[in-house]
Amino acid sequence: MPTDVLIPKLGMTMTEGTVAEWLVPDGAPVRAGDIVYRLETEKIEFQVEAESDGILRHLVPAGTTLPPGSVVGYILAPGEAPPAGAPAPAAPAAAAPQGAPGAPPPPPEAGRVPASPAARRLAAELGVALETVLGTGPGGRITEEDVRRAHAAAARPAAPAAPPPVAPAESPPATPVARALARELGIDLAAVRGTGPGGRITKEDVEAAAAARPAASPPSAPPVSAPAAAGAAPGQRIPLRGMRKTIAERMHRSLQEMAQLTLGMRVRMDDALRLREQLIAEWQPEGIRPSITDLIIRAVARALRQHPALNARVEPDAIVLEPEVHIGMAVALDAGLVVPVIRNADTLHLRDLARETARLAEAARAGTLGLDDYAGQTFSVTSLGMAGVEFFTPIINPPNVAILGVGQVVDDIRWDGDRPLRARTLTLSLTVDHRAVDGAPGAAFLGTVRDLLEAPYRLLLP
Amino acid sequence: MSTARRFDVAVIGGGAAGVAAALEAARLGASVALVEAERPGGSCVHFTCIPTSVLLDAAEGFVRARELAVAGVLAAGETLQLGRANDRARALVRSLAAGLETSLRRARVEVVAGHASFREPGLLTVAGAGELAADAVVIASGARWEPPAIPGLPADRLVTPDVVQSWREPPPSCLVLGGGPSDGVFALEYATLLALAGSAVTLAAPGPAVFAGFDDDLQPLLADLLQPLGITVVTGASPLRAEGEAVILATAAGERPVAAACVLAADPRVPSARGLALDHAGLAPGVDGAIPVDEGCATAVPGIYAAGDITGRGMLSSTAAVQGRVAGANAAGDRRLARLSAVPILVHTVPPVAAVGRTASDAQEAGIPLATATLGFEGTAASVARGGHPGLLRLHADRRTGEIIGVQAAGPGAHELVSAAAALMQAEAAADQAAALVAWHPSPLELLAEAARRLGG
Repeated sequence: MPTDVLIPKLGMTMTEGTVAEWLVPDGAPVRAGDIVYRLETEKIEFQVEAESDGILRHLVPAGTTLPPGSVVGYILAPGEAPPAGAPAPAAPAAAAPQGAPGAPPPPPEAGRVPASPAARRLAAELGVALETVLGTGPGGRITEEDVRRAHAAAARPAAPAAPPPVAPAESPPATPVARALARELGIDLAAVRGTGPGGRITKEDVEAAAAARPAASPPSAPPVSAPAAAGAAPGQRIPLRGMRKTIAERMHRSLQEMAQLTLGMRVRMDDALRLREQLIAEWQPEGIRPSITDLIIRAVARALRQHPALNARVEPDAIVLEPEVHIGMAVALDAGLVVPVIRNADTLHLRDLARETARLAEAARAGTLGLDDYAGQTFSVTSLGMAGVEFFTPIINPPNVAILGVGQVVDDIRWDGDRPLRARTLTLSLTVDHRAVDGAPGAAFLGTVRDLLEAPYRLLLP
Repeated sequence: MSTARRFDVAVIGGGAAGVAAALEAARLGASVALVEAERPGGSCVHFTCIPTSVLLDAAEGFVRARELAVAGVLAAGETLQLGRANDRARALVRSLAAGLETSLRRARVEVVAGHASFREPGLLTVAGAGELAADAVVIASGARWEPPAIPGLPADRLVTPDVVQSWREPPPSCLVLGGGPSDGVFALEYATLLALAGSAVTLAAPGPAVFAGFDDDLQPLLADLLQPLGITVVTGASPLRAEGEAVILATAAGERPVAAACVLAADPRVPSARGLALDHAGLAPGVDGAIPVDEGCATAVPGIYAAGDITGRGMLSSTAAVQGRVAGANAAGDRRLARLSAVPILVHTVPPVAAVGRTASDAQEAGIPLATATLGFEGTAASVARGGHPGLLRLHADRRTGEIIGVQAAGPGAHELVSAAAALMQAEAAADQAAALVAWHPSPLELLAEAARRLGG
């Protein structure tokens, strides 16, 4: 008996599917479990497996769109002929033959997809819509395994119907520590040569790549080498390379990968500004001049200890809370911007923090930042206040889950009963990755930062 | 004038490195000659690792039996017969050496008996066996014992482990000198053996460390651990001179006489290329006697490789075997690197002690921010299951990446713990992976997973 190769019904709402690509050629042998073709629907991509051993015969060419349950090919036993009068492709997108073999039976109750409780829980956790999952359990019930498979399939980038020009890049084999270190140092593993067993990338390989980087690295490239966008003439073509290219790629990737949400909160700065004036006078002999941003970084570092969820990164299967607080500080340069990092900012006294930010800003402008100076931030602070911007939507530096923008200090009015009071305020713009942080915890974090800035003596406490 | 016999690869020395090199080159299809003046096996098989492990296996059995006798579980005799233990070690060593010769024969490695010396880079003279020409040569001539001279001490009272292995009775007292290229491992092991056999043993460590693999703050704990065996530990001590049955030690607190019917230099090994006429090959050993090699075990002269103790790296059989395989493969035309990171050190004391990777001060020097977890064995199932002995496990990880960078353990199961940790470290697994290990219950590995979990906070 030939085995039908079908378009499976992947969900209640699925009305048609496209054989995007045959992965086994016509007439080639297959084994049960081999992936036979790539199916695309409007929602997801799915790999259809062979249900038996035999020879695969295509019935329709790649690119054909058919309703679920349609037969698109056969698996024949050796020497077996295809069924007589093998049907021509069913009328495209005609009435979907319900209950075709292989398709899950109609759901027992309207609006409820049959699934095991564990599968439901997992689907909720992974954000997989159960309607899009093909059930393989008894009676077409969706199992945990099905949810996982659907999740993995959805995670794959949707490809055009034509075979992708390049096979999806497998990440190169690397040891776990090499991966962690590459993340820490911002090294792209694809560009590292592995010398470990089986060509694996080892920690040493990543270190070697990092050591080789500063010369070629965009952020530390001397600003003169990059065309200064500011001085560009109209009509000029500015090549996308060096620091500009890095910024372009990182920022674009950030918005592509994350679900970014920006929250604004106004903060009364009168006390903080007064404190700053006092500190400037007091620390002048040491040559330390704390900026508004320094006060804010200090407040952020303290607040992050209370809100570790904002000091985190998102991995494919987990949100990882960072063990330490390293705050990146955006510094504008003619050629773009760099984000040097204040390490363990939560452990620094405001005075030391101000000294460090001054050093980093100086080094950034001089192009003398070391490798350690700009890698591994767990949260960033960026300011456009000096440029007259009050509120903006900062873009998160991957792999962080949040960034705080600092706006201009403005004269504002606060009401004391019926009496208007002059108040100096600024607006904090917090962007969070909604995959990891919801609006309410983001607002709670902003509230903590605001409270610290409005009662700023606490910024001097350890 | 006889014509030289030709081989693809000639290996000088039949120890851990030489045998590994010969077998690997042969496996890759090369014709191989192995020149060894004595029987294949080298110091590892005949004098150091193997006989020492067999002797300490007996010592451990003795301690276990004594404990069980005290508990009334066993009614056993109460003495460790050093002479019989040595006989047993010799018999077992013979069987291992015979097995080695069989492996070489089956791999069609031609074992040439005699002393080799270079005439030119690819040409060797073997005393009594003519000349050997080879496209590539692997030097694996090992190390030799070079005990320190102690003024006033007659030569017959200064002994090395091979001498202990010939004893029928232990001496009434013995001063064991620590240090050496293996972090003081042999000193700890022979101190244990002789103390259990009935000698009054003093262990003199040249530096502040009893065992260099442990953090500074754990050193006193090691000394405490050795105390019940009857070993007196003196750190920062070196022998000045002998006076009668005593040897005077120089310590920070001044001179200190200790009873020493004999002095055991446990591990005074130095790389040895004696008689090889390296200058004819165009090679010059460094001041320490070692032949410098790169990661592929290549020397400065093309076609000549070196592996094992002679390279001055590792000075352990484990690293020698790794280097030997790499040198043999590269001599046969392959291109490989010897990876010698996270090499575990297992000390056969009773209870056992072991370490791998960096100590806290090493890490500090390297600027690595540490996350550390220390776990006592007391009351754990793994410990109770083995008699309820005390013990300790310490785990260091790099706070930035979670990389496990050092593990130290003392107590029952310490060897299993550190071996497992070394495997994780060599595979560059991170602490969260150790935390997720599913270990047999009860077993020492559970403690490693627990320590890793504590690291996570």
